[in-house]
This record gives sequence, C-alpha cells and structure tokens, in this order.
Amino acid sequence: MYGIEQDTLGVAFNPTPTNIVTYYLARKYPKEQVEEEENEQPNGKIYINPLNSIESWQKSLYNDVHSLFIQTQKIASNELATNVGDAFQNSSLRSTLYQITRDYSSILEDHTKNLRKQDYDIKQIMEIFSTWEICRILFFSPRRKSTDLASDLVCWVNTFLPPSELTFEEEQQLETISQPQNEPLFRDRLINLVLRGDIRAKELLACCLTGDENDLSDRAIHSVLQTLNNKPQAKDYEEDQLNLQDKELQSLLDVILDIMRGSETAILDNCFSWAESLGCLLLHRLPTADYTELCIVLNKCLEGKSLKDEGDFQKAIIKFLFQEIDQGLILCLNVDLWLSAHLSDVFSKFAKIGTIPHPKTSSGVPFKDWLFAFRESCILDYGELLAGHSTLWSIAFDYFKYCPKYGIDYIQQLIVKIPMDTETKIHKILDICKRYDLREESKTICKIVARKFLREKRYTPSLFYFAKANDKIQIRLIAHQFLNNVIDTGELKFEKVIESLPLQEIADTSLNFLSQYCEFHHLLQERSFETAKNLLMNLIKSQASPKYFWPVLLLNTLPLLRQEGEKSKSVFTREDIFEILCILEEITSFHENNQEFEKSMRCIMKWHTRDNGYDEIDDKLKIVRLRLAHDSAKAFTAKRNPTSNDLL
Amino acid sequence: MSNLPSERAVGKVSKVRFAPSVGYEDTTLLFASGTWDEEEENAISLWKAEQKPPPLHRILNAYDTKVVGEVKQPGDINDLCFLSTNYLVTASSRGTIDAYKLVEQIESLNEQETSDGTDLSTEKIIELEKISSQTLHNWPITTADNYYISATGLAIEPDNNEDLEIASVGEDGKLVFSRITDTMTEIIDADTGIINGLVWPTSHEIVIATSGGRLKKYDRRNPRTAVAVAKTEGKGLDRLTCLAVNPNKKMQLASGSANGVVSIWDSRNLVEPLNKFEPHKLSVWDIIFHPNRPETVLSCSEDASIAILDLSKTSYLRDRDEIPRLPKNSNCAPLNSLDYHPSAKLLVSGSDDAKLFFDKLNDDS
Amino acid sequence: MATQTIDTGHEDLIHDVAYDFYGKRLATCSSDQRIKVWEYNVKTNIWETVDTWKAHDCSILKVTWAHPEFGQVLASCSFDRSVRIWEEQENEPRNSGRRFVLRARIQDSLKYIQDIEFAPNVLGLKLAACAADGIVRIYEFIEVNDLESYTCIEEFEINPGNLTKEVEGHSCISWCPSRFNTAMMVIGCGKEAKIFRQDGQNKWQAYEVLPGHEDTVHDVSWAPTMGRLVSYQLIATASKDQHVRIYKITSDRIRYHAELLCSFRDHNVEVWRVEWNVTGTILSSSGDDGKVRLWKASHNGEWKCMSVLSYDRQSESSEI
Repeated sequence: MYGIEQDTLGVAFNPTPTNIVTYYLARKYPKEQVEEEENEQPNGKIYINPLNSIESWQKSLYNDVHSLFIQTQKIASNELATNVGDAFQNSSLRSTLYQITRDYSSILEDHTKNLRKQDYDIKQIMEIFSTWEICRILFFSPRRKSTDLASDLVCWVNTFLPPSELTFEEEQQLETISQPQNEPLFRDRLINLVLRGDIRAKELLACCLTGDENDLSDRAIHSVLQTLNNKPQAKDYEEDQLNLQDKELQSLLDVILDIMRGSETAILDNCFSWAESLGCLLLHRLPTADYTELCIVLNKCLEGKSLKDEGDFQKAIIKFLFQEIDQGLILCLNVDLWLSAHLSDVFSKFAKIGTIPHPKTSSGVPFKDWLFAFRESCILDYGELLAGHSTLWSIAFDYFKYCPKYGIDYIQQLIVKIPMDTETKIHKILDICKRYDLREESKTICKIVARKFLREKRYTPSLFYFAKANDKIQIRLIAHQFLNNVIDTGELKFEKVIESLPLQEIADTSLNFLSQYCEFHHLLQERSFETAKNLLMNLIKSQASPKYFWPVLLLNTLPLLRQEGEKSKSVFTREDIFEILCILEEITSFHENNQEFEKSMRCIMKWHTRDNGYDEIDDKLKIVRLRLAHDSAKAFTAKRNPTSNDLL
Repeated sequence: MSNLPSERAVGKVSKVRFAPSVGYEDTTLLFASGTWDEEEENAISLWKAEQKPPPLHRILNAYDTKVVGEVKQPGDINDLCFLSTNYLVTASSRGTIDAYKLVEQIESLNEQETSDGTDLSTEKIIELEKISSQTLHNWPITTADNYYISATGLAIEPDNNEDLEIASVGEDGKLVFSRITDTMTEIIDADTGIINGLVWPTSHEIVIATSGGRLKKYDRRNPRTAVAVAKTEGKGLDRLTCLAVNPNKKMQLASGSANGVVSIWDSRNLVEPLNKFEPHKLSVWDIIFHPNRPETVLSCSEDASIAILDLSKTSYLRDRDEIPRLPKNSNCAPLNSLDYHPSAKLLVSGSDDAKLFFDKLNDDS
Repeated sequence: MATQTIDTGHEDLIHDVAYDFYGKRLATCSSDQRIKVWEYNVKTNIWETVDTWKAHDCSILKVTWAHPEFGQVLASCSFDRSVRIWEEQENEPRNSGRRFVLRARIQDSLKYIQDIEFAPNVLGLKLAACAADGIVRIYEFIEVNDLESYTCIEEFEINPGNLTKEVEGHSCISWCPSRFNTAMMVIGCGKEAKIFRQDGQNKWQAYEVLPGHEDTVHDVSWAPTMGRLVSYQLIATASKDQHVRIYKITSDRIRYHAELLCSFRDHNVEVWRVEWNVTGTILSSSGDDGKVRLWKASHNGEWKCMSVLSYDRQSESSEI
C-alpha cells in the first residue's frame, strides 16, 4: 500500500492543447533523508496518457464543416446587425439558417455513406447524424402542413432505427414457408413492417394467398391489402367481423387492421422500443400531431420502459422530443464534442431571432443566456481539441474567433504553443497573429524563432526575427560578436549576413555600423579614398562604435595615410587628424580604457603581422602616430586650394 | 467566371500544378496536388478532370474530377513540377528532391452493379513510382537525425528535352543544380538567409527570391556569383514568398510577399520593382501570370481569396477593394496554391481546408 | 494514441518530470544524481534520449525548463543545496554526456533547495528557488548569452521569525503565469499557502493566505489565466490532509481576495502533486493511492472529477 513507502505518484501535464497526462512513481523525500533499506528494484517508468484523440474520419468531417461554421457566423452577424424585430430581415435570415442546417445534414450524410462503404464502425457518426436530424426536424424546419412534424419524425425513426435486417437464413426461411401465418418469424416480420408503414408488408402478406379466388381467407387478405394501399384512409375501414376458419390468419389480419386503425394497444403491444412505438403511433394514430400531442404520445411510449440502460444518445433524443433543449444539449456533451459545439451554435442563431420556444432551464437562468454561455464553453472545448492536433490547429483559431467572451484569450494562450519547424509554418502563425492583432505573442514567437536560428548559427534569419521582435539588445550582442570576430581574425566574415538583410527597414544602429564598415572596405578596394575616408571618420565618431573596436578603426586609417609617401595628397583634414589623435590618446592612456584596448591589441597582433602582408605594429599603435604626424606635417605646411584637395 | 463544385483532398493542399498538355483536345486534364502539415502522412495525388459529355458541358461547364493515383511522402510538399506528362519532381520539407515516374495501370475492380446489370469494370489508375530521391538541402551544424531543412522551390531547365537539369532552393540559402539520372550536384551558396522561390525563364538565366527581400539573378554558365541583385523593402520587414515568370514575356517577373504585396520586375534591369500592388492583407502564397490575358497576374493568399490583378491599372495602389477577386464565399481557409490550364481555361486552387476549388476563367471576363 | 511507456533507465526513483514549452521534450531527474532529457520522435512515435548526465552530487529534486525565447535552458535543484543551470550545445553529439553544459552553479543556500521555477517570460529570465530553511531567493540572468553572470535580486523568508527552525515539512512555489498582473507567486510553506508579491518598496511580502489547509501543503499550482483583465485566477493545492483544493483569486483594484472554491477528498490519502493544463480548464492531481484524478468544471461552473487514471503497483502497468 502507499503511504508508508517512499514513493508516491507524481503527475505532469503536457503544457500544450494535446492535453497529455504523464505520471510516474516519484520519491517523496530526498534519498539522503531516508534511513530505511530499500529492497525493491526502483521503477523508472513514465506513463504517457493522451486524453484526446481524433480519428481520421473525424478529421475529414471537421475540415468539411469548418467553412460552413464560419459562413453561419458571418451570415448571422451581418443580418443581426439591425434590429431583431425586423420581420422581413428575420425571415430571410431564417431561411438561410434552415438551408445551413440542411447543409450540415448533407455533410453528415456524405460522411456516413463513406464510412459505411469503407466498412468502418459507424456507430458514433450515426449518433451524431441522428441527433442532428431530430433537432432539425423539431426546431430548424419550416412548418408548412400540419402533417409535417409527424411524417418527418416517422421518417427519422425509419432511417435511424430501422427494422433489423433479416439474416440470409431467415430470408430463405420466409420464402419457403407454406402456411406462413403460423410461423412466428413471419408474423413478427409482417407486423413490424405494417407498423412501420413499410411497403414490403404488402409483398409479405401476399405470401399468405393461396391463389384460390373463392377462398374466404384470400378475399380477406385482398381486402386487407387494399387497405394497406389506401393508407391513410385506414380509419374509414368498417369493422367487418371476419370469421375465418384459419384462426391464425384471422388473428394476424385483425392485428394488422387494428394497427391500421391506430389502436394504441395494438401498436404498443407490438413495438419493442420506445422509438418504434413513437414512430408507429404517429404514423397510424396521430399524423397531424403537434408539439403538445407529441409529448403526450412520447410519455405513453416511455411508460414502463426503464431508461437506465439507454445510452446518453437516446436520453438526449428524448429530451429534445420533450423540447427540453437544455437537458438535451447537456447530454450531447457525452455523445460527441463536435455535436454539442455545432448544435448549440445553430440553436443560438435561431434563438437570437426568436424562433426557439423558451423553456425554463433547470438552474433558473434565462434560456438565451444559458444557451449562449453553453455554446461558448462547447466551442472553446472543441477548439482546444483541434488546437492540439498536428494538422487541424489552424481551424481552431477560426472557432475561437467567434467566442465573444474568452475566445481571444484562448487564441493568445494557444497560438504560441504551435510548434514551428519550417518557415512556412512560422509565416502562417505570424499571419494568424496579424489577423487578431496579437503583438505580444508575435514578438514572443519571433524571439523564440530568432533564438533557435542563433543556436544553429543561421545569423541572417536570426537577425531578421530579432529585428521583427524589436529586440535591439540581442541585435547589438550579435553585432558585437561579429566585431569581435573581426578583431580575432581580421576578416569580414559577417559581410554576406548583413548584405542579405533589409537594413533600411530594420534601421538598427549596430547593423548599420556593420554595413558601413563593410562599405568602407569596398570603397578602399575601389580606391575611392576620399569617400572611404569620410566614411571612416563617421565610423570613428559614431555612437555605435564600441571602444574595443577602435584599434581596428585606427589601423584602418593606415591604408589612407599610406598615400603620403607617393603623392603629396592628404586625404585627411586637420580636423580629422586631430580627432584621430584624441581617440588614440584616449584609449592608450586612460586606465579603464586600457584593458579593453590591450585585449583587442593582443588579438589583432596575432594576425596583423608582416608575414601576412601587413605593417608591423606594436601594442601602442605607434605606427599610427608616426604616420599621422607625417601626414599632418604636410597638412599644416601646405597651402590648400579650396576647390580641390591637391596640395602643393 | 463560374464556380464549380469543390473536391475534397487528402490533406491540407500546399501545391497544385497542371501537367503539360498533350495536343489541343483538352477534354481530359491531368493535374497533381501535394499536401503539407500532415505529419508523416503527406501525399502527392494525381487527378484527372474529365469534361462532361457534350450536351452537359455546355450547359454546366462542368468537369468530373477524381483521384487516379496517390503516393505518400513524409515531408511537406513545398513545390511540385511536371518534367513531362510522365515524370514529376517534388521539393520536400525534408530537404529532398524526389522524382516520380507516372505509370499507367489498368486495374480491374470487383464486380460492380451498374445500371446495365453486373459489369466487370476496369479503371485506369496511375502509379507513382519513386525513381530518385536526393537530400540536397541541409544544415550540417546540428546533429540530430530528425532535423531537416526545407527545400522550398523547384525549377526545371527550359528548352531542353533530354536529361533535364533541376534547380532547387531551400531554407539553407543554397541553390542546387541536380539531375534525376545521376548524383552529381552543383551547390551554390546563394544567400545567408532563407530562399523561398525561384524561376528559370531562359536556359541561362535563373532568378531567386529571398526572405530578406532580395531578388538575385544568376547565369547558369557561371553561377558562383549573382549577376544582379535587386532589393525590395516593405514596411514591417516584408519577406518574399513566391516568384513567377510570364510565359509569354520571359523578362517579366512577379513576386508575392508576406505582407500581401505583389511586385513586378524586369529581369534585364534588376534593381527595384517596376511596380507594386497590394491585393492582399496577409501572405501571398502563389502567383501566376495569366497565359492568355496580357498584363494579368493571379495571386492566392492566406486571406482565402484569389486576386486578379490587371497590371495596367495603377489605381490599385490606393484601393484594395477595387481589385476583382474570385468570390468563393464558401471558402474561409487560406489558399496556398493555384494553377491555370490555358486551353481548358480552368483555374484550380488548393486550401488549408483540404479542398480543391475550380473556376472557369474565360479570357475576356 | 494509446498510453505510452518510457523506461527511463534511471537507476533510482525519479523525483521530477518536466515538459518543455512545446511538450516535445521531457526532462527527468532522480536520486541517481542524473538528469535525462528526452525528445519525441514523430516519425517513430518513440521518446528518445537526447542526453544523460550526472548533474549533482546528491539526489536531484526538481527540474524545470526556461521559456524557449531564452533558448534551451534547464534548471535543476538538489539535496546538495545547489541550483544549477544547464544549456544545450548544438555542436555536441546526442547522448555524449556533453550535450548540456553547466552554465551556472548557484550555491547560496544553507539548506537544500526544495523547489525551483522560472518566472513568466515577460519578467525576463528569472528563477525563484525556495530552500528547506524557508528562504526564497530570486535570481536574474540579465544576459541570456552569458548565464554565468546572474545576480540574486531578492531574498526573503516565507515565515519571518522562523529563521532557525526548518520549515515544517515542505515548501513549494508557483509563479502567476499571467502577463497582465504584477509579478506574484503562491508559496506553500509548511501547513499554509500564501500569495507573495512586491510591496510599494519592491520588497516581496506575503499577502493573502489560502485558507483551509489542515496539514502540510505538498504542491501548489497557479492556473494559466484565461481572462485578460484579472477577472479571476485559480490556484490549486495538494495537501497531506488528503484534500485537493481549488482557490479563486479576485481583485478589486485595492487588494486581492482568495476564497476556497472547492475541496475534494477523493484520493483519501496524502495528495502530493497538482498541475493545471495549458488553458487552466483541467486540473490533475496525484497521490499515495497511486491514482491520477482529473478535475474539470462543467458548463455550469461546478468542478468535479472527470476521470481517474490508475497506476497498478503490482503488475507495474497502468490502466484507466
């Protein structure tokens, strides 16, 4: 038993909408605190238990219905923008909604057919389909004739709770019987078909015919057949006392006629399930039933039947038939989440235009309020289920959008949980953020992605997404990394990385600095020394220029100063030279700057050697001072021509 | 324009492409669709669209569409190209370029009851036989074996009938030339970022579109460095997502971006876009030039619509609502790809709802 | 998907299991002083090891992942009184023992650390650690690229005045994950659970007490907020007094109120762990009876047990 052992059960929830529960044997206290001997082999097993699952047929259904759901929301919100009381508006909306419920039905029918063809288990989809149809018949159909309700319900019973199919042997048996009226299988079958109003009843009854024109029995049978043909005028048939010799046949025909006349006892006696009773009573006895009569009939059918063993699906149907919509919807939660979400959605739409009767809810809350809250909670749960699916996640957000109270919160919470492995997926998730104006989430996602690229050393996409997240600090850090790389190696490895970025758009000072530094080297190569010098001076004076990088910039003046030897042309002005000398002084003399400077110099001197084709330098950059002095001497002594830079 | 019934695809559709047509009698069209985001269960499907027999087809303009072949593939199908009517090539999110051979089989089905009584019916199906698969795009620094870099775009060498070369680009920033028949490849480091699209308009000219907003042109004879680089910078750090070339005017290119901007370029003078339009508010995923209508570009987008852009109208720059688009009231899911069959005048598009939509687009309307 | 089993191969009992942000990675820690990191392979449907390494010199009591915006960072705490921060190295091969590198070793505490948790990412990269002597420390890592340079920005006692005595039983923490509130934590300290936050001088103080606990609070968990403007928050606690409790925290601009929403004794034995799901709609609890109970609010707001998962000790299997 637990409690005295050192272990207990630990639990962890997968923090994504997949809602996977993980549990494992866990230690209660640190091993070092426990004095007892452990005898058993420790168990290092972890159990992972998914709470949700979506079958492939469900996935297909969810996809198909998606557009229809959105259409419903759009139509309802467009047309309800005006006053609810507008009768004309309401009637056009109503007919559109009727059409929509029919569209849902045909999608469900389509899927049921497909599943049947592929030999799948159709139990669940049949439950969904039949519940949908019951609600459509009861609440979402225009009522034209008084017989519509009953006939639709009868149709429903026959479609969804049809008589069980006979086995092959049973069929064979029926075909070869003589004196079929004595055979219980035949009687049951025939009565069942008559109850249901199934035309095959006639064929079956005809098997009793002997073919003898004068036979009283035959004549009786023919007249019954005639009655069957003349439905629903059965009530008008006279009570003709038949006195046939064949008592079996007589009782059979009597039962048939009783049923046709709508005798309650005859029907209830011969029906097995409450649904069958209901259908048959409506068919034979109350073809013009309205809602109140329906309830009365239903009560009769349920008399004596225990509903304890019925599934929630059957209970839900019964509740709907009694027009206890709220109870029905609550039971639907146990049947299928898709069903309760979409059904309550459609109910809400009809309720808004006032076409649903207003029953009391068990909690006393007004029906509409209860319905809207229930609808939202179902759709949120359904959306959460979708969000955990590797493919259906994108649909989830469309559902959340139409939940006015908490939808946006769910979107915010769950959009960051969608895993991103390709750029297409990243684009799509950012598009969703754009659609719902989720700026914080967008930033977080960009940072996550940027960090991932950085770890993989894919600098261009990394900088791009850090820029999108407006993370200037991180961009600066990467820029520093690049500059340090220059100090270490003397090469501009980052050049291509910067080139591929939309720098103008990003407008980051660190990146612009890097870009201009690359530009400087280009200009040097092209021998545009004047422009290069100007750029270099900008770089030296720039705020973005880090102190540890100044040695490199100072060394970069050398190629420009080199020109001194050959021609008497100084690219640098007096002001420039002064500036450079100040900087040189600053970093070589002040102690706090010294350390960075020395560190940089140590790295630079490793590659800035004569062997590599550079000038020899020392750790105080005396060479720069020397060249500058040489240059400035010329600058101070020469006369300057204001229109050109040529010095004498 | 008429809206034809939609078809259910086997998954979220990432690409649709018509097979090159054989002859002018296009009553039977062949096209392929690829899926994405289906976690190991992606598929390439081959469809046949048969025009309904004469009296019906004039009244309803309708086609009978059905799948005639399918093959599964673990990665997303990012691009799809027919080499000829018998071969197709795909670029996948696993970084592979796969080539398939289309083999027609005649499969006899079980006895079926038709209206004429029982009939032994036969069906032509097409088997997709994978004949080559090369992993051309990867990023060596990571060591996990289930770490992949997508191949994002494909183009086939034009004007060559034998042993075609295939160019592919990927998220690794590489442009790779390969052939189905051997394993020799030429790899060019085209960009340090992500490349999303490419076109191969003439035998020497290749243009790629990058995420950083660059269009780079390469000469096939000397592909090491780009011959020209053009930039476009849109607000909010725009990324180029797709690229298309006008089949009638090979120097005219159109690109789509993540902010819904369509830019028109001249490949002879690749510096800046000649023109920019904003038909969409969200990402443009696929773009094509209308082969029969001059100066018309069709783009499909994450906003679930297809825009028909008339390039000669500059007023679009101001008013997005003026741009005609295919209504598709019933579609709310992002459209990822579209293609147009010039002689049958049929437009097909695929959505994230696992649906294919068809439209008849006449040349004038 | 059916229930899966991972045979971790730890040589001793596991102390803690933590999922990363995307639920695709698992870190497990054990008395065998090792941490193992697992990753889910979609292709094969199997959890595979990324790496295993000896992380501490004593039993490792908790592991927790940082937000992916900071990279692949893991924190662990142990009986050896230290908290250690680990970062994944991309260039090291998997299962080499070197894949996760020690970035920081925090050895400030005099007693062993009982619980650690990273703060919500909006607050930056911060970690709270509570020790067996009732002292909670909050550390900040200003530069993500340089985790070694951390600072202890806060140190406070859960039960001021109880410095010398070890906190009775247990201490545990859970940050408020909402980005719309000020930084808050619920801390279980011995037989009480209290909400802590910063006062006017930015010092962390205890505020509301979650009433009703009769014995040691073993675990606390603050639910993800699904309400933008502080409509209400939920906190769950697991206690030695055999109850799972859910509290509702509301605020009225002046202060917060904590009221007991419901209390369940279904486990009938000590309850050790509670954890919320991503939307704060399902609560899981586990205890000495070897069962995991899942609690959900029905459409009318009433919380009840929606299902029970059993761990069968004898046959070492599990069933629903």
